[in-house]
Amino acid sequence: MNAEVIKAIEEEDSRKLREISERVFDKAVLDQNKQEVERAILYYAVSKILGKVHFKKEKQWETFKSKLIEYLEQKKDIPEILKHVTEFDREYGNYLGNVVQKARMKYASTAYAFGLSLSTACELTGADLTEVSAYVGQTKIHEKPFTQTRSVRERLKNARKLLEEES
Amino acid sequence: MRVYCDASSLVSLSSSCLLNVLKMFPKTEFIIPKSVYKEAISAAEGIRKFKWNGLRIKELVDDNILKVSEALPEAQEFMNLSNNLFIHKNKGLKIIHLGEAECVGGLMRDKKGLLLVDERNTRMIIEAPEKLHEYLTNKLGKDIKINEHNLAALKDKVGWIPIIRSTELLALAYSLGFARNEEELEAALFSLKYAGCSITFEEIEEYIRIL
Repeated sequence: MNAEVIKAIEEEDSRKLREISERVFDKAVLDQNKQEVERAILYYAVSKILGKVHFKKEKQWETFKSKLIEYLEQKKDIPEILKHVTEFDREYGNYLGNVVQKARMKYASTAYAFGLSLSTACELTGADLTEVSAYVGQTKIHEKPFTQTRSVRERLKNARKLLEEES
Repeated sequence: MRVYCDASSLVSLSSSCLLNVLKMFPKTEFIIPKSVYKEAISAAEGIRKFKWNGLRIKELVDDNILKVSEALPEAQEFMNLSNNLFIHKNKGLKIIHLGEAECVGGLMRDKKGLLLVDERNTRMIIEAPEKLHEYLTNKLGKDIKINEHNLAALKDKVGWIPIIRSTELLALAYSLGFARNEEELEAALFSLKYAGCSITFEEIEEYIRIL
């Protein structure tokens, strides 16, 4: 796995790294393995950086890449590697929110789509609830027909119990 | 009437600037369990991007519109049942968080009231756990077993809980004079959906027809 990741980074193959990340995450979410979730987040964040041309134009690009590979070869702790990625993105990225936060949000949304509650998904990925909630709201997750467990009329009837007390 | 509020609903209402909806029900006790307070307020206070959202919810606590409740043993019971409902490799899948469990725990103790929750999966555990199981199995493509004992216990203990979302609260508030017209109601309903409330476009359209 590590060799596969390093190869993808060396070849700047964003798509391959994304595939590996998704594979790691799918397994990690089922095993509820936080450490592996962090690994998936790292690979996803790096895949996003690899996919953006403007990063590669930076003078520090090759240094960033070789240090990243070095860290992976040394099997450094994931939080340390994530810090390296965050710092590079903070310095050269175009957005206020960093790429690691985005990766956390993306995977929290995926975990929620898998069936974990929103808060559990946020806890597992370290994402922020407000951010994930808004992100999920832009997806089609809630459009799936199976999610309609009661009719609108029935739910309104429940809600009207409130009104009975108000009057 | 007590309404236990999950963080997902408070966040959707706050993000849509619709927290004032709660003020339309002065006789209702809106309860916010401690863990939900941590998620919706304390956590947001530490993040510049979301601090304002959290502070708006905190204002309702300060004004006693949202009342903070202590954790109950029933919350742990609900968590144990839910988080050992779906079994993968002989291990229960942790689906429910303490915040959601504390809301449900309050209702289990009171044996009446409403649950306000915008996120989908807690709602499905209570209303249609078999559907969630079917979905999980299809989505993950893995052998996920259902614990029949926990399924029966959940149906017995929480199956009765009436659930509303922020959209139902808004619809009711509309009948009490919140929002000036149908156009505003529709816009507010869509705003809640985009903020994360688990409602379909079809359901919103139905609201517009029947209200």
